[in-house]
Amino acid sequence: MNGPAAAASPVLRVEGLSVVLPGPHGPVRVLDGVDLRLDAGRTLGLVGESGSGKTTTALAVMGLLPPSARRTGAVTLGGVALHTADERTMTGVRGRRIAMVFQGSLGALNPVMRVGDQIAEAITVHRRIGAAELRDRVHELLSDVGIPDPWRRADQYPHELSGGMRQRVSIAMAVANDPEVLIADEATTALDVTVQAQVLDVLRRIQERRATAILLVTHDLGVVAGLADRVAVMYAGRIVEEGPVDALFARPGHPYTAALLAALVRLDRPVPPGTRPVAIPGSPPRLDEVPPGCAFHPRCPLALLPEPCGRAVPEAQVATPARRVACHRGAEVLSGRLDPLPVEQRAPVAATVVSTARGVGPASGPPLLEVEGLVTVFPVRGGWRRRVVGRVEAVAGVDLALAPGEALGVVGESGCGKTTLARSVLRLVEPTSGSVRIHGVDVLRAERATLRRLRRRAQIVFQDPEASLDPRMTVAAIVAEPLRIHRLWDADAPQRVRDLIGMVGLDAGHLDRYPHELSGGQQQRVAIARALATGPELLVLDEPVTALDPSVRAGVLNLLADLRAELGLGYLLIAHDLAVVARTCDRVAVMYLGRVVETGPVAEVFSTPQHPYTQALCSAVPVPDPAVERTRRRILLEGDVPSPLDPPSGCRFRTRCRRADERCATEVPVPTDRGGGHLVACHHPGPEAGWGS
Amino acid sequence: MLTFVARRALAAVPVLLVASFLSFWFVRVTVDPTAKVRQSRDPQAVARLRERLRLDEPVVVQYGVWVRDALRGDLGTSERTGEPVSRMLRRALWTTTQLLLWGTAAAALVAVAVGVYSALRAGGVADHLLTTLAFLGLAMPPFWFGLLAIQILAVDLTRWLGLSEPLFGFVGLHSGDGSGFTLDYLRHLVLPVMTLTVGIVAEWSRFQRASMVEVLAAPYIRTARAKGVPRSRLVVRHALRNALLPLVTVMALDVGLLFGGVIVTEQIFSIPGMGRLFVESLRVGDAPVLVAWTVVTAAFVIAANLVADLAYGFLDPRVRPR
Repeated sequence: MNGPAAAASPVLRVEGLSVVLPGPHGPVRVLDGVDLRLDAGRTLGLVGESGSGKTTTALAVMGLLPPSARRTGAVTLGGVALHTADERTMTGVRGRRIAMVFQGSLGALNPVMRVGDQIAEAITVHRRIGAAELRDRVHELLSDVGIPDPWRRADQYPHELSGGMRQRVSIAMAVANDPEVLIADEATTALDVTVQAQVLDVLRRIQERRATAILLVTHDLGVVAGLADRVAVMYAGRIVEEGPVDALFARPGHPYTAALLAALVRLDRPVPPGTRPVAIPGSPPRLDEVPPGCAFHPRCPLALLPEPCGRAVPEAQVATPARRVACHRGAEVLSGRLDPLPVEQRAPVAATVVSTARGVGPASGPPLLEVEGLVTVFPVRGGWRRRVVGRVEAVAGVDLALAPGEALGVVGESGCGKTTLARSVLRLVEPTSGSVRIHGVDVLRAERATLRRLRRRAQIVFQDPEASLDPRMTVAAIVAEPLRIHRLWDADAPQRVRDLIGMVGLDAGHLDRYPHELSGGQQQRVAIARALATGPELLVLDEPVTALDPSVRAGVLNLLADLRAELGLGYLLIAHDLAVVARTCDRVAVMYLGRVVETGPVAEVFSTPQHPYTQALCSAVPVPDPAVERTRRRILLEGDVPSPLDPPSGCRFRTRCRRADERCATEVPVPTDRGGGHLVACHHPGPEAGWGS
Repeated sequence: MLTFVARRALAAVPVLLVASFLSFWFVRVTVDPTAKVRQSRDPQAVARLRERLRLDEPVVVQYGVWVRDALRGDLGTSERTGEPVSRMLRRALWTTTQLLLWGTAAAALVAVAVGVYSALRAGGVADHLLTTLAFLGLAMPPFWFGLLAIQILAVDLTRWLGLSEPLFGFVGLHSGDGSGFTLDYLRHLVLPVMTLTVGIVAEWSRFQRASMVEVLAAPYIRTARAKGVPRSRLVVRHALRNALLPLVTVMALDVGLLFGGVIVTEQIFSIPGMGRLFVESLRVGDAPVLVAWTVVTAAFVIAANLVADLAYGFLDPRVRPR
């Protein structure tokens, strides 16, 4: 982000980098002629979906590929050729001149080594240093990355730290020797948005202070917009487009980039009513079956077939001095002569296939779902006799109502209780107290038979379709199973299964396939078809697109929108991604530590949030627009979510709230209507100055 | 830490009670202690013995008497030798403990070394060779292995080298009346320890290899490589300690298995330990010895598991008892 004069010399150069890995059906070319250039003190964003080769690029630069990989091409770091260096030289370079931060999972740090020792090791493997100086340096690094109380933290093990804290430790380890280049590979992907904002801030500060060049590898265009100077977009092992971040976001030159950007929902700019985001058809190719010619051509609205797009691999064309586009029609797109966005041509869903089809859109009348005072407590057992030593109130008194045909989103960070809420509503976990009524029928006190009938009317779609579909059942058997369980199997049933498959955008050819033969998006469509089989009125969607690639998400979300319109379904949609809720839902409920802190119409809650937590949450979501992202004000939350074992008294958010006073510590705030069904549970509600549009 | 040990010791009490009761019961059901006095000319001999052993009362009562005496330190006298059971057990246990300690130590060293070496060369020629050897070790019956080892390493090798006495001893743990930690002692240990551990060395090395291969693919190993940690340090500091964790559990479970191996090994090498004591007592139905033997063995296995849990806590901060 900073750019003094000396920034024009490349510190890292990658030229013609190709990597071939052995596969079960012969060698697979996972990288094909990748060129990159990273200038000193600058940030290059490397963007792509899973399997596009971005992580392989990072590992190839570091010389960390598996021994079976064959690498060709050149990697030069500050004048040193890394591609010809032997392992010994590379060991000396890694961690000293070029360092890497990996995706923050518990496994990224050695579980049996104190974090202080792990940071110290990064230094001692490269130079001799006295014990006292080493200790001071470790503590200095820990405070540099914003870890409070570094003396105590250094003596702890990774499992004693929160996810955000562990990622800070990884960064401290990587910058311990002031490397010239820092590679951050999905470094914030596993983190909650508020923690992601903190960690990105750490990266920003480190770069400012040490003039480190950062290679930011991510699938999140929002993160790139906020941090990168230049962006390279990868698809199927090749760089398809590269350029300055502003120009590339403002006017993408490759149809893939354009489609990715168009498929995003921006929280700061609500979708105009009546329009829908454009979905990219298909899914990213597997690297062992990359289409000939341009790998994107089967999904590309501009593809000229068969020539040249289906035959010739497009070379990177230098469009303007600063930009490269590897597309046969890139010049036309960049000059504005061609609109790269596909025309939406999806047939509307046939409303007649399910007999229970109802009206469209939210309807008035008795609520479809009523949740009152719902509490779900998990006992924590410990000690010798497995006695209950603590209670986690995962859901701590939640009230919700959902009208027929309405879509209610529940958002919040991991551990806030949203998934437990979803499962409690269907009694997949047993709630402790409160009430849940579906069409007035009490779910929690329902007998077996009643519950069975209720489950016919309320179905669930889970986050990970690969895990939630039985791998030994065909698609037809999976979709038919609810019909059999609920004794709805009759002469028409096979036709109904075919109709359901058609409704979710698959065809009869998929019926005999097994889940592993389908892509993630197709799997999730099967899961949706299964949920629709019994003709439900309520669908609980638990993170339905989280496991999917960005280019596939829009298609599934559009499908969900279509199905709701056609079938009059009510949705209870659980998501950590505010944009997904913004696109799909009418209303939203924001959860923090088991409680709903704010609820109301989506547009209102997200544009003028009244609760300080909602404000911080909205502010933490990166906006995929470099101009906005650079200038907008951020609200950075301090610290981590408190332990649900011992939640703060009064308002549970008060320990991280800037408006908190004594009253917040003693009195639990009651939801109050701020007008138009916008309820806020806060003692000091109100818009944040300088926030909102 | 201390409370953890105390708790575990307390938890062992019911296990010991159940184990001793079951063995007491089984011995009473299967062995008639009056059989040997049946031939006696004294017509009252059987009746007297029945009364002394309270054989007319329910098994539970008989067991209660045994527990009462045992708590006073009286495990009874052997019906075979007339010697106090506690003294016989103490002597035999000491001998067997030596075998087990050396065996476990040697097996762990060899298995970890072989496992790590195979994992670092996974898929290579050495790995395949060691894998084959491991399966051979698993498949070979210990008594046969012991006899082969005596023939080849003691008899044949001694002849080829033209030595006047066998290179490795194969009767007892010392020659003649020798004692103490001497070269003679070590030469006597080699063959029994090999026979005792051939199976578990094979098993543990396979286990260590699998665990090491898994750890080497872990993200934190990649993190360490990205820091510039050299390979030797990577293997020792980062991979080995993590890879040892699952092995510790398996090792503790296998101590029970080793007691079975001791029975065969001590028989082959004429070592007067727990194994031989068991076989000899079983042959004549020496009830007091058999019951006490079971309890001591159970206590030994429980103690081994406790040690393993403590070692686990030492190795892995995540499960450290608080």
